[in-house]
Amino acid sequence: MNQKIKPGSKRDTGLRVLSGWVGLNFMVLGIGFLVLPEVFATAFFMEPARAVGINSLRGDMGSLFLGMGFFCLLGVLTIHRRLLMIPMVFLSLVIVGRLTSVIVDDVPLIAGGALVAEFVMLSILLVTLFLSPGATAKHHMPVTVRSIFTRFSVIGLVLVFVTILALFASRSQIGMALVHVIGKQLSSKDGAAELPDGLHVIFAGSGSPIPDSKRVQPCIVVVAGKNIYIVDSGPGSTLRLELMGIRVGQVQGVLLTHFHSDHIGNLGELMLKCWASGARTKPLDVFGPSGVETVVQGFNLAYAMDSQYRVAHHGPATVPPSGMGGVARPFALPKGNDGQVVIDADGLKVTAFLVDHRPVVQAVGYRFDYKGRSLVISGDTLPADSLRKHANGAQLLLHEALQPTMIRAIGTINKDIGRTNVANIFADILNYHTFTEEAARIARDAEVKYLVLYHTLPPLPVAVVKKTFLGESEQFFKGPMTIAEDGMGFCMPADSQEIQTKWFW
Amino acid sequence: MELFKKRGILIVAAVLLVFAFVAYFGLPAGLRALGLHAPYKGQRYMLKDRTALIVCTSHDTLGEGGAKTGVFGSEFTAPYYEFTDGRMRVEVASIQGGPIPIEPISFNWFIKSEPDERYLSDPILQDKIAHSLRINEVDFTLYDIIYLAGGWGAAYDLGTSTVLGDKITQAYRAGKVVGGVCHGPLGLLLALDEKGHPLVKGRRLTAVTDKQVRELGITQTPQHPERNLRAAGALFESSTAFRDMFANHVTVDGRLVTGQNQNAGHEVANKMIQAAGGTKR
Ligand SMILES: [Zn+2]
Ligand SMILES: [Zn+2]
Repeated sequence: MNQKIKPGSKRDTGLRVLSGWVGLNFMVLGIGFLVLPEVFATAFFMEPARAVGINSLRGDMGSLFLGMGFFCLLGVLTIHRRLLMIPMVFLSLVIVGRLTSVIVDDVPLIAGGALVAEFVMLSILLVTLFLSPGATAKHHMPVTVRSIFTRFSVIGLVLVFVTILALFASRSQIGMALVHVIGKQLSSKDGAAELPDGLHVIFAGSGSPIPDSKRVQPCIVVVAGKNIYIVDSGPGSTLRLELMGIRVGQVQGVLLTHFHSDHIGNLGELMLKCWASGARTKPLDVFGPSGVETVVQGFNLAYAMDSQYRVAHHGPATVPPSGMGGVARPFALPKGNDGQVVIDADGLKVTAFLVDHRPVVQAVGYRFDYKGRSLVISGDTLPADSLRKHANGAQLLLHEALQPTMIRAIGTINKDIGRTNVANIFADILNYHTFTEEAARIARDAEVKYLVLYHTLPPLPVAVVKKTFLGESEQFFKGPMTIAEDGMGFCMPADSQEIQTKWFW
Repeated sequence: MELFKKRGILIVAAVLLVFAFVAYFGLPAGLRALGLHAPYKGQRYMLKDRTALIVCTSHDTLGEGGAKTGVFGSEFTAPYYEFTDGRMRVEVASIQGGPIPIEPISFNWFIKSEPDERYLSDPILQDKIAHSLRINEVDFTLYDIIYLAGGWGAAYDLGTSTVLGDKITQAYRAGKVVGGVCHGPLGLLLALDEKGHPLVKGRRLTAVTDKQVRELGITQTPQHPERNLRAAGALFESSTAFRDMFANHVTVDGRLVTGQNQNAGHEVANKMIQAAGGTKR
């Protein structure tokens, strides 16, 4: 029966050291969240959405890890190995939570590494607890203040306390050190460069004009081999592009689907950044249906003075005047379902086709073909036969989607509180967007492999409404279906059938 | 004994609870599985910015001083929402205008369908039903689709209204799509085609069957769709089930689209949109 190892034996010491290492890890995390909350939060993809969130990060996350570390170390440094149960319970709950997320949230397991680490730590604590010497009466003694405050534990506590104080005292130095680390990381980040040869798409903006904390207005990055194109430039999206590490200076061209503000609002900013950060010598190509001339001219004009200031300030070598602004590349599509190839270069073929976003005429969608991979972006549209035709057999379809039941409900709320004009807008948008279930039927009819819904109406700020948003869609389209969020990417390596999801932000 | 009694009461309560639970969820689901208001899985169509007119009865009693009746709920709710979801504008008219009587059974908890639920919380359609247009004052040729809703009330005033007959004649001659479900197609009886022949003569169509009328035991109405349409020369077709209220049948003959009964609202509406030049949605 007595398979327990002897106190003080080599194996006992070894296990205690291992468990102590686990405890120290928690301590480091706890101190990290306490002293540098946002740095640690970034590592776990949980930057606070609003500034005051830092309060919860310092408080809640700091205390969680410090607490786990405290009891872990106490279990190792005193005779009360039973105290290891406390961090074990927490670790088990963390693992349960992560696995729940895998099932419930339609996101890849980014924190897979963390899951493995937590599992290893739990195992270490488990083994230590079960093999710990527990035979003598001493080990069954109640946990008292006296029995906790051993020489070791007091020294440990003091060390932790001093460390925390020291770190707080040297915040300025830590900040400077971080400038080097983070500055290098941000400056050298190149989101697109790490991708294999193929056709890839990244959402810099996946939302609509209605504010959504997870989705700014539409902007889609298409990477084809070494070339980068941007489809639409919705407000807020240029910032997202830069945060995702997309080198806007290398962008080959912009393709606009139509000229609603949510699709062009950031064009001036985007053209300026493309020029200033890339030292372009030729203006940026902006493709679009007829009318794109006016849009580009307008933004060029609005940014003309800014561009002059910058040339005067940085000099023409840094910001060549010949590269400022954009140049419109209009195309006029014939009526009907025949598209038109608007880009054919470096193995990439881009076909524009008419969609139905009346009264917006012309509104277009785009199909990208590159090395056996294909991708269709719907733009804003009602269900359209032309899209069904051009999406036929495409591997990835990005289709706009509106959930009518939710939109009607929000419309009613606005009507009830007297915001009649907003209620009217909610009623009108039903007539020029595609319902979620209709998008699923289009994906089914076009026999696409993978459907991604974007330009989501209404906003989906919390994951739990995703199911409501999809409605009965899964009955119609049996393939994989995802609701886009900013930072989400889909990678299609050349000449394969694979479609991987990847996060860029 | 005490204990036994207590346990007995508990068991009876538990059985009742389970029974109530099964009935509450099982009865509507069972009826749907049999075919009553079965969910529509077919292709849907749309016709942006175009218009449809739903025509209903104004008759509200079964015989002299009989039970209350009117239009059957799902026969206007299902097509109304198919048309509006199909991005059309929809108006509602009736033989007399004003408030349209609704068959009280329509919205029973185990009968009411999903579009019925939607209607019950939709002030816009409720308003259209409460203030329907009078057919005499409506130019039917301004609509792309004329849809005739049924219900027992329609057996009294649709097939005998010369105004309705004339209006449908005008709409049909103007190239519009006409049709309806259940007792609604009775409204086609007095309409004429381009050549002046009765519109239904020699045409394939469906409506509520004599069998369903007998099964439901409501035979006192002045007209019966199958009997009267056959007599007018229509090529009547239908499906059957162990009770015809669970059957579903839709017939498209050119611009004439008809459905057998209350189960056909969704499909008839979509086939009408398709016939009017709609596109898939
Ligand atoms: Zn738009
Ligand atoms: Zn839009």
